[in-house]
Amino acid sequence: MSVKSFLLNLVPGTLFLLLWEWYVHDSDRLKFLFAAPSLIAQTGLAELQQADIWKDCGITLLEALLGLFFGTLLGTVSGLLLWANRSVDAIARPYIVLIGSVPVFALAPVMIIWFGIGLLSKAVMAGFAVYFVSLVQAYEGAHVIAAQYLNYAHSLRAPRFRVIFKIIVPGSIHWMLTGFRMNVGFALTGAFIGEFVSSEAGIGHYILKASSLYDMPRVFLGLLLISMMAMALTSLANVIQRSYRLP
Amino acid sequence: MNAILSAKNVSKNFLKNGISFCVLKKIDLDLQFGEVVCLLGPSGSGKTTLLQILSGIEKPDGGEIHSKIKCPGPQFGYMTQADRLLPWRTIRDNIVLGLELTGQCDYTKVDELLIQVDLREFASHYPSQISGGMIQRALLARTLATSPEILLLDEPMSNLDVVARRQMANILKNYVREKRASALVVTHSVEEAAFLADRIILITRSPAILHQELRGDLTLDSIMHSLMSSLGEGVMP
Repeated sequence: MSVKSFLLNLVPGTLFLLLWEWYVHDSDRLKFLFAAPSLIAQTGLAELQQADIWKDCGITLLEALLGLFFGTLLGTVSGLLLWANRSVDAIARPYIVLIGSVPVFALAPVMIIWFGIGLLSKAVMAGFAVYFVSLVQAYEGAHVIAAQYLNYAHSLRAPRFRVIFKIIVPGSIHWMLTGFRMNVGFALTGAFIGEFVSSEAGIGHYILKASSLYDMPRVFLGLLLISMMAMALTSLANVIQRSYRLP
Repeated sequence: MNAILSAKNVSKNFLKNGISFCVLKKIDLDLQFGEVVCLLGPSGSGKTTLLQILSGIEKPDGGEIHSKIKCPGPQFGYMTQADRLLPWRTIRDNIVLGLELTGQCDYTKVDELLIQVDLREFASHYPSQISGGMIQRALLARTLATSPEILLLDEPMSNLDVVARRQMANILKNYVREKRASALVVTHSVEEAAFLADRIILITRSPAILHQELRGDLTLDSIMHSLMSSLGEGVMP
């Protein structure tokens, strides 16, 4: 990105912050309701010197990463298995549609009961949120690659496991990485919702606690931190995806 | 009978908008050990469908296919017009693919093939970095890498220039002679057929029926004459 385009990118955000600051600056009521960018910055500088906020960030990040890794892995393997076995695909498909349509928020109480209020329930929720996207991406990727490149393997009557490992998996990696990138946001949402429903730590817990005290600068700081985490993870996913770009 | 592959009374219909189209009609064909047969005919005459049926990928609606080797399988070298190299593999790795898929571990002949098809310098290139003709040569090398006994080649030289075409035809002829393999080559190039074939089978336009077999001294003129007369008597508009 050139310096010019970077500066152009900053313009709308800066204007928005100035407008926000100007709108609330002479009203305590508006500051109470909407906080102010300067207040959020002050709170942020103070909070980031405390260990607690870093711990909250670390926990949310760990929950999201665990869910992202295991959810993506399980989803991808499931997608490939469904592609490889038409009968299992036909039987499993309605169930996948049924379970996949359950909002992750609705599952949160069940997860808390099953896995407790600690890290595990949040990681499972994050994993659940990403599982179906990974499954669909792997499944669709396998279908596209099979349609384009399997004639030759069929003519050799190559064993299925070799076809999967030599053609389908490497060919579908681009699809899987696209799913992975999309899943970053879903994993954070899953972890966040889990923390929101019941937790002892994490950014969701931080925001919930701040909002229950009507501490809007902290609420916005929490939102800012979770957005930054999402951006960092998305950048990481982009780097991974770019490293696999075909020549 | 010395046929390594034969088709008896093979018919094939396709449904299009609910109407059944006859593509192949009672085709009899055999491929002997160590011979190159060219299937010559106009576009859309069902040559590719016949090859798909012979390779075992497509099932015939009527008739039988007999083969002395397992079909499809590693001893079948089937190269189609729709074949593609895997874009994430280098040219060398693409040629190795068939060996990997069939569990063969001896990759020594791959380097030899790369030299034969004149792609040694491009072995570590990716398909997107080479020309269409080079891709075609790499596809042929990939097909030959598994040392098939029967080659079914669907217009294998369609994207090549005249020199490369002759070079590839030589590679193919040498392979058939050394390996005592058999090849059935679909083409609509009379020159290619004249150079390659021990026998030429002329096929008329849809529904395909074998019109005539040409053997012996195959010259361009004799093939052209037979082809023109077969088209005249066929259903060509």
